[in-house]
Amino acid sequence: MKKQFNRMRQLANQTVGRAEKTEVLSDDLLQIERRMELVRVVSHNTHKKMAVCLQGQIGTDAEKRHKKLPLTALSQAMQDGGNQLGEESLIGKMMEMCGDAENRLASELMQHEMNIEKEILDPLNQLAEFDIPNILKQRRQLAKLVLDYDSARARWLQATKSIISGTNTQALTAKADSLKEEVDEAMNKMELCKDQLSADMYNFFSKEADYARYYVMLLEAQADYHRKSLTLLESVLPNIQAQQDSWSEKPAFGTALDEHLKRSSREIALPIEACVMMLLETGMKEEGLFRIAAGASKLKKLKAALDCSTSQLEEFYSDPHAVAGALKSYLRELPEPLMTYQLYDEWIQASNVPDPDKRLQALWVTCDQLPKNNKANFRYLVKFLAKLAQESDVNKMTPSNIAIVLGPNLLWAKTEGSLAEMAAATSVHVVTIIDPIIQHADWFFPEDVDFNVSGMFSMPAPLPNNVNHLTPPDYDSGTIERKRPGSMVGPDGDMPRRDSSANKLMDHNPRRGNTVPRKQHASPAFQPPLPPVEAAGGAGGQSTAELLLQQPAQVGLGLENCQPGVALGMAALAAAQQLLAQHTEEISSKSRDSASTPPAQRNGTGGSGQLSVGTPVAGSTGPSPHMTRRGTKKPAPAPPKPANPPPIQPANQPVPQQTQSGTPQSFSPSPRPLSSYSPTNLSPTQTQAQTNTTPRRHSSNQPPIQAPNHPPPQPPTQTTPPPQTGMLGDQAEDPSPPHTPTPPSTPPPTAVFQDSPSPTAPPVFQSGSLPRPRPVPKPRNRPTVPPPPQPPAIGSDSNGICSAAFKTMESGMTFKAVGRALIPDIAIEKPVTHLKDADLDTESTVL
Amino acid sequence: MMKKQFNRMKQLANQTVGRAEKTEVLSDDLLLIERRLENVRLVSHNVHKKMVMCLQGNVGTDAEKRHKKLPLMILSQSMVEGVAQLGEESLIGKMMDICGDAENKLAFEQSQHEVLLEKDILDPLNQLAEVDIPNIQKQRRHLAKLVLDYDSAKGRYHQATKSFPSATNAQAMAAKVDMLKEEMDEAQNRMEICKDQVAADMYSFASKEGEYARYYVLLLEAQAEYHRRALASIESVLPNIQSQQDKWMEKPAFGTALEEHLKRTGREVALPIEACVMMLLETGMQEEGLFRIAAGASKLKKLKAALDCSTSQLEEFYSDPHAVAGALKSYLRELPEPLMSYQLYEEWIQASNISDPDKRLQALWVVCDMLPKANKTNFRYLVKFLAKLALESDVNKMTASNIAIVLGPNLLWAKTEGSLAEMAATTSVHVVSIIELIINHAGWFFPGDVDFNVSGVFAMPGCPGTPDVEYGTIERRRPGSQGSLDSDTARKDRYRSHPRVHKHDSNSTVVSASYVVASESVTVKADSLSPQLGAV
Repeated sequence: MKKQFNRMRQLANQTVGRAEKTEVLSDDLLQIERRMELVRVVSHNTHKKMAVCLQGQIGTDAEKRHKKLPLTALSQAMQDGGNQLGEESLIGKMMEMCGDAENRLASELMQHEMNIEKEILDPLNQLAEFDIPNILKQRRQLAKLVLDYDSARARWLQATKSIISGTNTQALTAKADSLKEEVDEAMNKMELCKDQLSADMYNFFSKEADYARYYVMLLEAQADYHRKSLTLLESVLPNIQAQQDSWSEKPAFGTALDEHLKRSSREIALPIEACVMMLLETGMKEEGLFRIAAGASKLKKLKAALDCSTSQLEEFYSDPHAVAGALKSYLRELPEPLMTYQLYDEWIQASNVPDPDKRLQALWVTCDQLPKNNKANFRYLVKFLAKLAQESDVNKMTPSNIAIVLGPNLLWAKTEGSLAEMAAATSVHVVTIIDPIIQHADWFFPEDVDFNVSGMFSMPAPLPNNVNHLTPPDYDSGTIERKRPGSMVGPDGDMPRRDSSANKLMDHNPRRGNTVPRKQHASPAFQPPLPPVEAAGGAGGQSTAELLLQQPAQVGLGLENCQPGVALGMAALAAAQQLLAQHTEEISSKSRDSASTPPAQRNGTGGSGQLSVGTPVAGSTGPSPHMTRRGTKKPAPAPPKPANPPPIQPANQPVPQQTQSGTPQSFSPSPRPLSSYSPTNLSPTQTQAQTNTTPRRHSSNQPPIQAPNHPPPQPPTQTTPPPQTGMLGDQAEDPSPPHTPTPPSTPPPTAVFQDSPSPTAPPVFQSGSLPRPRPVPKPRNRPTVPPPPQPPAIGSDSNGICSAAFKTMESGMTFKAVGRALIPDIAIEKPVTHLKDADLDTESTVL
Repeated sequence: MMKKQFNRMKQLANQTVGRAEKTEVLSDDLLLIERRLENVRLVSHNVHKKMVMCLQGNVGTDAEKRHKKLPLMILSQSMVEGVAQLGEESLIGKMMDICGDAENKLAFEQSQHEVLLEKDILDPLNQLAEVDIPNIQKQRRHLAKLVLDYDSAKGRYHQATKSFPSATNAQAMAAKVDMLKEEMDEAQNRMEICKDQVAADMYSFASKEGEYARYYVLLLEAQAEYHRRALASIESVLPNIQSQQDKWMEKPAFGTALEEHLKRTGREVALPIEACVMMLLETGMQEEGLFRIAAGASKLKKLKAALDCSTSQLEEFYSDPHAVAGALKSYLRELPEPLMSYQLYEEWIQASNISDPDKRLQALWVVCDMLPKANKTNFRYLVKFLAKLALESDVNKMTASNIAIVLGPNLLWAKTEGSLAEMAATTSVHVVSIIELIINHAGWFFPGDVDFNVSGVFAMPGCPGTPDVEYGTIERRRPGSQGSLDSDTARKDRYRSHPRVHKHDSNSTVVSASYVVASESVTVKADSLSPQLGAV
């Protein structure tokens, strides 16, 4: 209490200036003192704010802190999510990998924060809350000691003054001594405290660099943290990105062609193949295909299903317009047209070439410049469109119509849409490009196309079966389709079987041939009922083939239907004989060739009949004459093939061929009327039957169909070989070779080539049967070839051919008259068939 | 509407008990996709929620607002304020300024990163989990209702057709049947359209799985980019802040390697060595037992701290020679490597073992000459001072031998010192013999005089009181000439010895002593002049 009193009194005296104050600290120490407070405040604030920057809980150990970090919670959520979605899911894989990465990032963050706390936060806190406060505390202690010293000294001085004037000197002296001791003691304490304080202050000042270093360390720690996190992420990213890229299931619509093909390891884009296969199955006879718009919801659904790569596309088979719409959308939504932006100008330039032949050549050159993938898909598509155009009489989609509705989806300018006029002009050009390419598809792309390139698309049950079995066929088709995509063996297995059946047909040919003449005599008796019976026969043929394929039990019914067909054949033979009697020997032989073309279709029917007739002996005798005639007729298809090899000149001649083919088309109806109604009924039967079989049979249809057209154009085609050499030379020098003069001089060589090409045809499946029939015609041809006097003989032969042609035309005229009278009935029957199809569609829709 | 609801419930009940058939409109793959939808929705929702918690900024705010609120930004502001308080000239201030700026940039990068995450990942995930998938599921439920409607209508139609033949009112029944047929057809159409829509959406969802999975790749890429940019930002600042740190000259001298200290301070002789020598030259040469008598611990600690602090105010230490000597000894002992270096230790010992005195001296000279430049310079400075001290050993009692005993172990020691007490003793013996010889023959080892005031920053303080003025005046004149310095030094030595004697004899006050010194100095000067004249 006394000490406290003394301090207060001294402080008061100093305040009023009555007592001197001892200043114990030097100027630099005073400056350091002021600085310490600033550093304390600043360090405190920095520490507080830095602590807020941390995401973990301060003071906790590594494990606890790690668990509490938000990144760890995120990591856990991702890994849980990955487990829920499963490993086979891409999202699941990504989440698992990402979750693991986040967990490691959390670990890095935890270590980073632990490091900052230990190296920076704790030292800063120590400085702000302990070191500096301790020094300040000593400072206050020193102030007190100074007061004590000043107070003691004042009292001592006062005592010494009073000694002089004091009466009791002895006592005062003793008191003074006592006070002196107090002063000395106070001074010692003060000095010690001052020394300690000074040392601490000097130490603080000299450590400024250390304190400043904390901020450098903070940045270094942060840099290290980011560096480690970056390293971690960069080690994870390549892996997770590889997983992402390896995922092949991505939308096809709107994706670049090359990218889609690469990812799915295909050569033909999935949507193109899928749509083409479905259309080949159920859309080839659909009127206005590609022109009529599909229902919006169906189209959207199909596109989504194709994007999803689902294997369940059965429900879309019944909606060809939706499928066609999807195909158009895919082509239009490609980032770059199938025919490419960079060749756009070339395409337009080629289409502007005035000369038809040169234009085709220019288009061919441009087409050849397409990138590999674009070219392969374009070829696939054009071949399909050409096939579609072949049935334009049914579906109304001629090459021109197809070009109009599909052209703008295959080629457009980059700046399309900028001007309506430009768009219109572009569209016109594109149509003029696509039209001829479709018409001359075989010239642009000679080889045949196996549309089922991936082997994943199988045919659903034929519509006719739906009529008989509404429910079972669906299940059956579903089962079959599920099995087929799973294994390629299925289709392969089917092929051998069909081959064996063909062999059986060939085996039966000789035997049936023997019985043909007899039945020919009996045929006149059936001529009157031919029209209605023929129709029934055709239908029977179809059902027979189908039943044989799927339900052998119904063979009996087929047999009954086949008998009328046989009668029809006999009637045709009778007509042929009459024609023969009307012409000379040479003319008659050639007329047989021309007359044989229509019967080719009959032979097809006969083939199916044979299949069904396997059991009854009487029925089997009927088809044999057809087989014989098949042998006779088959030489006809051979000539067109040698015409294909020379690509350039065929390009020049396509137009003439078309003109000539026009005439043959007018002739072709006449032969059919000759056979009364059977040809008309038979051809649909064959077409449908082949449709039901493999696509390859579709291709086999082409030769017979083309046969009627080939005989007339054969002369000009065959004339090309000799002049080709000269013409090729001319073309190299002059672009315009003469065509007209060549025909007259070529007839004789034609005869020669007719023989030579036929042997080369054997490789083809159907040509396998050619060798057997050939012995018959070859002997006849050989006598004409050997004649040494070629010039006069050739002259006479050519005249004969011309006369034969004219006679054929005359007979054609006659047949046309007959056909016209009968056409109305045929028309009536066809609509009935279509109606049935419509009903079937309706029922399937309902199902 | 009530009727429709009733019809639906009835149909559902019938289907439950198996009395009515149920139309399954979705294919197997669509059902699979439907189940997957829910899983993806849940997972996306959870991840979105956790990811939001990882962000430090406020979700939904724009870049600028988010930037201001980030903890790093607040730290940056705190540092900037600290700079204002401490001042730019302070090293801490400079560091905080640069660091604060760096933290600001980091905060900016983080705000950019979080905004990007929110836009590219969080929003799409939220859209998927809360909007897209729920919409599909909603359509799915709607489709289920339409299927019920269709099944119900079909059931009623079939029932009507069955009752038609047996009905008495054929006309009315026919009309009813037609109406029911229309209802059924309408229901079927609506069902088909809805089914197509649902199927399209589900297929679309399934085909976008790759896209959804990509969000997680984007997250890692965004994080990598963030760390990359943050690293670049810091790495652009670090060289600057580190160079600022390195440029700072004021660093503790005690415990720092000699070369480092000299390099940083741009000196040739270490500051503590020069400071202590200068102070001892001023007031310590007559002090008995200098270097032997230990100083007060608090004084010594204070002086060492002051020397570390490079303060220029060392006046108070002039009056305490023992503290100064103690500081010098501490400095030498606290060097990471002895002044006479570790690598020459063996050579020093071998030289000291030579029996012939002259050869021994020569060997020591050779080893001394091998010292690194900086060590050699400081060793020479120190030895010259110690030699001067020894010259007055009759007063301070510090002979070369005594100096070697107390100071030797601070100049040379083995790396393995302390491993064995015996070895330490042996080492000490050798070192003492080395130092003693070198001090005794300082003039031979280091010819030429040494100007101890190499940095010129040490001035002599004046005496307290009135005499301070006189001495101050005298001292100010003396630095002007070397000759006068030497003579003054000699005079001082003589004068100082006498005043101290008087002090002891008289035991009078300081003031009295001062006066005595002044009067005697005049007399002594007269005497000294006489001998010089005599000599001439």
